[in-house]
Amino acid sequence: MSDVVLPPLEPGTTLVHIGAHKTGTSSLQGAFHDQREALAALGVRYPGRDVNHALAFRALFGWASAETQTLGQHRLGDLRAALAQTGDDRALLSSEELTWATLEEARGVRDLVGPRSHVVLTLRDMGGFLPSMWQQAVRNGEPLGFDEWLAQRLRRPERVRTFHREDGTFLTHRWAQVFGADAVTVVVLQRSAPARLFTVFEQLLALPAGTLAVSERNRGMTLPESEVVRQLNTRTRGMRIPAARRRSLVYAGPVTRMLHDWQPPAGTPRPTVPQRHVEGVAALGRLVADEVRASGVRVVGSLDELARVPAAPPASNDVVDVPMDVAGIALVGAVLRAHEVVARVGSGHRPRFADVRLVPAPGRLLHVGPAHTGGERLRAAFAAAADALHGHGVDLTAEAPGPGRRAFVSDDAWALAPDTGPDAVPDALLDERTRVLVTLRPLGDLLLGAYADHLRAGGRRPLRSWLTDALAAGGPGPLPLASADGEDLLGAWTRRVGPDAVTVLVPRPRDPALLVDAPARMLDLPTGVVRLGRAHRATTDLEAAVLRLRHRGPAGRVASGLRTAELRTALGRWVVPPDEVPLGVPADLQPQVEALARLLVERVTDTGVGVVGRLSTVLRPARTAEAGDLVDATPARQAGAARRLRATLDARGKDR
Amino acid sequence: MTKGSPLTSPERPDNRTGHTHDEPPGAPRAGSGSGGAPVAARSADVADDRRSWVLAVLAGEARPFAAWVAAGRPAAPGTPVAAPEPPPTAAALELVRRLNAALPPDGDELLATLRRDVVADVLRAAPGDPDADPTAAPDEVDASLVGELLAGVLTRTLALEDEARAALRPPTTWGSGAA
Repeated sequence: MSDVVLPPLEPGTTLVHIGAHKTGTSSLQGAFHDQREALAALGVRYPGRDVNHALAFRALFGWASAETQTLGQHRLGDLRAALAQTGDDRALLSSEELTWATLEEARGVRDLVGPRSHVVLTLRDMGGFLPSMWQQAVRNGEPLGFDEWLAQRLRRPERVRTFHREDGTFLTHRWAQVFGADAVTVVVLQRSAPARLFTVFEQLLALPAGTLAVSERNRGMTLPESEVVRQLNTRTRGMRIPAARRRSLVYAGPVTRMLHDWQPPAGTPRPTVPQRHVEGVAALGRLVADEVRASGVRVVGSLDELARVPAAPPASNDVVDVPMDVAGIALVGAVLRAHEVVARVGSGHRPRFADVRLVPAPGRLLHVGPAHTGGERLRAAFAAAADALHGHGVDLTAEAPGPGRRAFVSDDAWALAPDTGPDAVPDALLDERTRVLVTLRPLGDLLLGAYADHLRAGGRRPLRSWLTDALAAGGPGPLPLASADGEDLLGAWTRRVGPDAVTVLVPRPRDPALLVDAPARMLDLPTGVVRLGRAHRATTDLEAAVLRLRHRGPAGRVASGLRTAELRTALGRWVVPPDEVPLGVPADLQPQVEALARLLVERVTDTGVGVVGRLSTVLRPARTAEAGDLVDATPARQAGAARRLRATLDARGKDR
Repeated sequence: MTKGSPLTSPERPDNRTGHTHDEPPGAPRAGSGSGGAPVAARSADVADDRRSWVLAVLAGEARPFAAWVAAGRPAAPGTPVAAPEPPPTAAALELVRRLNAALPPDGDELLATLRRDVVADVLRAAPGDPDADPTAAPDEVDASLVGELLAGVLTRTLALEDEARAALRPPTTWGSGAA
């Protein structure tokens, strides 16, 4: 059974596992990741959805790359929320990158997890740790062979990032200084006691012995595999390939293929401390052991283990030839991965949020419409998620956002209306930390929606004449949607806040959720916090005809045969019969609608604002009106339309 | 490490790759006949077969030499290539053959381009000994050659990726959705 007996941590304690690298961390994280739900039932939380919490900590420390910044902020927000809800459950956070943290960053971790917390650091023999570190470095682009790499580290041990002393303190001193020596445990792994790692975590978290199942996720590269990648690295070291691209092409290509597809035969050499560096490695192990002792933290296992070195070290780790099997797998992996990556780009695949620009914090996102571009759905979705948004640092308010927070405010009328349009929005709302979101949709649909508004507001103009005037004016509002020679929607907003602060969002019909997912991403919210609700259907030709009839005056209302309440019920129907068609653009006006749509697309492009979605969606034609359409028909036919509408209500009543 | 042994390969006393189990069953071997002229003729036939197989592999053939001979020396599925002089090393050819074998037979033009680029790198970086047997299929390969080939793939991939992105994005807008 176990050689370790540790008292469990107090209920409600957060255990922070800081690594180090290559000390069984992947295996441990995998065990917790795989058993999240079962562990939660035993009172142990492993928050989040990833294998570890590296993304959140990178965001906390400002280490996140451009690619991972947004995701990291999401993870950090999720982590804060999860930690606030642990109650008396114990929680585990784990990231080996925490060993790189400075004193100040360790304090940031303490602020995150609070006073009821404990830190575990795992260490192992330097003779095993350093070769593992090297092969990991090779995966990330290291061009030096192991022997030379090791010689450099032994001359300056602080170049092993785990042992850095940027702030004059050693690893265990830093964490002991921040959390207190009695709240830090160092576990020394021992080859003769491989179960110790899991035993320690089971005991500290009061889990039954044997709960954690070993999860092997991270086979190290053998010497031939490392050499193949190192040879690649030596030839590409001067190319300054960004880390994300290297990971995408090398790590996800030949490296992963070799690790998955090649079973190293028995006796395949692994990087091993060579004879000439044995004493130096042992001395480093003793140095680390002395540092740990001096920090006063609790130690599980023997610190003497840290100075252990291989019993039969090789003369060197030089490799000339590698097995054909591994070479073939690497080459095939590289070519197939290259094909995958290039084909994906060439097919026009673009990440959904490729051009989303993050709203600064503090900062404000102002959605300005225009009407009939999804504003109602957008507002309903965000309003329904208001509480969750608050937890993620977003408030639905026109007030100035607090420190580190973001505000979201939406009003369709700000786009085109005379008294509330761009120039009516107060300067206070449009400071340098404000971003403006303009939503667009197929222009014909937008225009027909605006015409329906005209009717619902009591108007009775024929569709044809209303549409003709709207097209002549460049849109349905006093400010044109697009104008070749005067100020228009995009011109006004870029004048007020600059093109870099304006984003045009045009969800494709097959991706309607982008309507809320894009602003959610701009506000740095996790996907799924805001969910798009049901779409409102378009006003039908029949309804429009009846509205026009009734707006002719008392005679029209009588002729319609519909009471006001009935009409309201009709207009509030979620679904309409299949033969009840939406409003349509008269065929002879379609070219003019298309011309205005093309001008709008040009204006968006010319102004240099950001575009999310597909701008060409604006050009999608609306339904073309047919000879039987009723909206512009005679009053007699419109009266017939009213009877049809009343019949649908009667049918609904009978169904009920 | 190599397959076979010089002791089993009487063709050339200094041939380190020796006889391999890829050689077709009953394939004629230099020195195995009883008369000088027929032996020389058979030896020339073998050399021709090997040269043809090298060309076939460079053009996309996936079968080892023995299987290819047994199949009747079919023409390679891909674009014919000019005979390289000298032929690539046996190890480099074995890498190309394994690549051919792993690629889908109905692969697209991009895959064919990537394969051709590997072949070009092999011809540049791994010239063999004109007198060595290029069909030997050794069990090991020089790590630096593998690194060279991988670096070639990586370099071209970066360029192809950049080209593909450039083709997608008109330079007049930073956005993507221009119609």
